[in-house]
Amino acid sequence: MNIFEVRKNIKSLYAYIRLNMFLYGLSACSKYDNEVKDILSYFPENVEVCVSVFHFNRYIICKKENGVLEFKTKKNFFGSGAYAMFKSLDGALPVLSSKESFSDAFNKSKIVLKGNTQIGKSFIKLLDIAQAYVASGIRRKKYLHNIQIDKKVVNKIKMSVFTRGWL
Amino acid sequence: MIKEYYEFSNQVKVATGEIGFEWGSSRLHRMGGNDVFLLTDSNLKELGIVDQFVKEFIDKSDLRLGKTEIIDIQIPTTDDIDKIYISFRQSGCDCIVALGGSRVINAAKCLNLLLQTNSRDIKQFTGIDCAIKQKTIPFGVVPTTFGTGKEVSKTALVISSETKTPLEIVSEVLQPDFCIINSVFLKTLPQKEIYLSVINSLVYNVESYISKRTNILVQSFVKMSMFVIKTNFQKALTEKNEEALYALHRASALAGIANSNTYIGLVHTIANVISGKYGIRSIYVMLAVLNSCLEYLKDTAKDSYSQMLLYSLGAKEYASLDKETRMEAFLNMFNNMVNFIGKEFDIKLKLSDYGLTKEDIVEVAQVIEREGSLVTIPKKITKEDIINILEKSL
Repeated sequence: MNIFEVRKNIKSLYAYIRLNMFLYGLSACSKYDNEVKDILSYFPENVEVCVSVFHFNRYIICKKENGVLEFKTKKNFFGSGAYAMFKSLDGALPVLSSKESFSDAFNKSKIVLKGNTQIGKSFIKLLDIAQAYVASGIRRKKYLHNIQIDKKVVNKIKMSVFTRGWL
Repeated sequence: MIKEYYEFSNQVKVATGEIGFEWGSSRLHRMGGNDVFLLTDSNLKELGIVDQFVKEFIDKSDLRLGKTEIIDIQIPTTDDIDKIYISFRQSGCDCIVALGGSRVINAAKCLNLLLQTNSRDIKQFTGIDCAIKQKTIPFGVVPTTFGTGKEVSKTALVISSETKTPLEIVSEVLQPDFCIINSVFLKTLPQKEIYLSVINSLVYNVESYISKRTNILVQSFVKMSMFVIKTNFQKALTEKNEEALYALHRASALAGIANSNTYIGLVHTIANVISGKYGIRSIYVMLAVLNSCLEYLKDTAKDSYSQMLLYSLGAKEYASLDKETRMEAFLNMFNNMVNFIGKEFDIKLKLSDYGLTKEDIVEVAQVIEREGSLVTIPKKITKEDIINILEKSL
């Protein structure tokens, strides 16, 4: 295995860990953050939205069925709704490491959005908010200061993320 | 600036000027086209413009007119696109030409997308950057109106026949191979429509310049578009100068190129929602909300407004203004234009004139807040902000 493959494997592992953190962050935000609850309430019934990275077998899926929200990761995605995909792992890494917001990445055309664009763009807003909660305080102040979050629930959400959604 | 990542594309070859038609038909033939599938609308057919076009574009060249398809629907459904696709296949044509306004160009783009991707179901391409070109079908556009930049944009809109919901498609594959900007069609346009088209182009310019998706290439197109509009606006309207009309037409194409890389902003989003809900013409809603939207964005877009004023006024006039007053001068420029159009053509400039009330505003603000297009505007907008903007336009 050469150095490039080692680097690629490390990047992939990092991306996998961060995507899972966003999944728990999204799940926690859907319980504690009012803006996220509001946006999700406007999603139509029986819709699935997903975010992933091109050539990376891990899909972060948010499913709304009969008013119930489900957050999961899967190795494939066949749902309706919207699907946001980073065009490359290198393009995704600044976002996954909270050095760039999802909406900034979208505005730089780093993300392909398949399906209903309105739902897709709203999902990107949701991801922004989840990212701001999950990011460290320093990164949030430096890179994500434009995203407004509810400071009262930051600790609750972080705790929920670190306990993998059990809280 | 150098390290900053961005993407810009425009795959449309723009031909303009006297020999446009001759060039267009020759290009289509060299690209492998022989039998033309012509999409147009019934108005143009009745006015005899289609026959005139066929004489100039097809009869004088090596092309043959395979079939003429009339498009009169504003936004086609997926079934309509399927019918057009079947009509194309049955005609045996091998190239497409769209002659008309946005509705014709929209339908032609959808047909082109299906042919280029070798597929039958347009719903699978809903979204942004989802289509990949597999084969080339020569496709040219001859726009007969201006202001929307549809001839160069990467967007198309269809309505799903099953769910009746709009499906937005954004892809480079939609773009034609070339477009011929020939203002011979614009001579019959009423003055009111020319003014409204110019306002639409200017709004596209402003939205593109201040959008979060903007980059140096987009801003270059905006800069040129604003300069051309400023130089030719009066001449086109007061003297009906043909050269000036040509120039405005080109400026609208430049605005379309800029906008196709940045997508719509606050003004268009509000106008589309209100227009769709209350059936008011979108450009009239734009006139009503334009000033309030520009006011709302002025604290984040101060420098951009100042720069756009420079392109609009020119260096001498710009330098004569105080630094502090430049932003106000930019806002006043739009304010004066809107008031002039309202007075001259008896267009209502308040949302209340169209029957909207405060309760309607609150309801509409809720819908607008959910609009995903607002992710590109340079400021975080809340429902209260939208209500304020709409109340000022009431």
